[in-house]
Amino acid sequence: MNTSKITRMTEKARILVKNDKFYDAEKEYQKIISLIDNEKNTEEQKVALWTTKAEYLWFRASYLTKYDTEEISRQRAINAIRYIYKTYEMNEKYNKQLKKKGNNLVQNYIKVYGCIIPETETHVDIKCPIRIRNTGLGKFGFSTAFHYNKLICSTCGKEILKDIDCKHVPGREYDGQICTIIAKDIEVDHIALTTKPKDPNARITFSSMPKKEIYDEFSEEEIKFKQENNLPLVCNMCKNQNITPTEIDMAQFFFIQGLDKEPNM
Amino acid sequence: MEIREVNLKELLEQEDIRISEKEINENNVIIIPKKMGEKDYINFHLVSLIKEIQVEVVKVKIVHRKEDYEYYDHRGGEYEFPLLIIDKIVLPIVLGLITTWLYKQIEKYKKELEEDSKNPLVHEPSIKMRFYIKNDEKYVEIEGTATEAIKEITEKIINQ
Repeated sequence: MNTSKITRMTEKARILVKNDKFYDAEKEYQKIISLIDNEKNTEEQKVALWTTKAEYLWFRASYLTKYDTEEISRQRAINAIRYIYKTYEMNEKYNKQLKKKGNNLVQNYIKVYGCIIPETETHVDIKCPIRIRNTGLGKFGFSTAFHYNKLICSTCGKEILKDIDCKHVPGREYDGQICTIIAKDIEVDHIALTTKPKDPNARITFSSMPKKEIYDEFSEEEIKFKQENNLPLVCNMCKNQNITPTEIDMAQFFFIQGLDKEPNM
Repeated sequence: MEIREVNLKELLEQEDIRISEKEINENNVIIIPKKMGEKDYINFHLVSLIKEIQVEVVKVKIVHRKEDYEYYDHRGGEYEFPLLIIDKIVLPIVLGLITTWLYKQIEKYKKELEEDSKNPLVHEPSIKMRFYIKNDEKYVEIEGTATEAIKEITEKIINQ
């Protein structure tokens, strides 16, 4: 593979895009891809192919011909992210190089296209932390309440508060060992949904809602159009509320939308 | 924060606690667990602090209403202290241990906030604290965040 030739051609394609010469840019990118596609044996060649495909698909996502639909544009953008993710996953070197780029693509994608909400036959699955946080669900966490009959000192084996012969403070070190509390005779009192759980990570991260509840928000015509054209349900919360989804990285991007990570274009 | 003069006997009666005057005088700190239903309980997350008071102050007694007390682990982000009857002589040690414990909770909260600043479930712990200063006959109630509790203890008790 002639690397300098590929670099020159890529630069040319970028200039063509910049100058709004989309048709020529398209042809140039196709040429580059078919050139690299013939030689993809080494790690470097694979990376060159995948990143070029990502760049091309990202460009093609915003350049629509009269035959292209918004859905095709979305699929191209998703595949651009997939190629970047594939390269990012390759090893630590690309992990470092592409993390920021990939996450920026994800943020731009969400702001432009919104996110697909995965659907099953009867339910829709909300896995996005932003959506969960911005609806009532994010305000609650789980808290389990226990009763303990006995608390034993791990250092001396005596009842920690009730036996005055125990002189050990949990958390302190005695003979090289940290003293801890061993709880015995544990009884679960209740599990609560609360706004102040002890562990803030014991929260709702996934919500499966009956499809009907979501579909009720649309007109019959809209639903019919969606079904006939096999269109996904899309969340536009970030777009509409001008939220920059900085916390959504590439892996989460695929997870919340239930998307396969492997490119299919 | 509420500080009022109260007679200890009346306070103990209100709390349904039976303890002899001799025991009151002999102990530097008396710990009275919270009554919940038919039983007396101590918050599990305060056990380390209470043990520290037991070890550092020496003359400490836990007095309960029924034959025994248990431990509860409810209301994760809220800490309700048992009622403490404190001898003025050990007040600085006890309040020192309490404020150190409170600082640790604030540190933990700050760390959680740093790790996940957007999580609405990260809260500074709420504190409910009651204690009685034996020699001054003063009953103190503090309710607020850990930071507010430290401020009240420092400004209104330690610096008074």
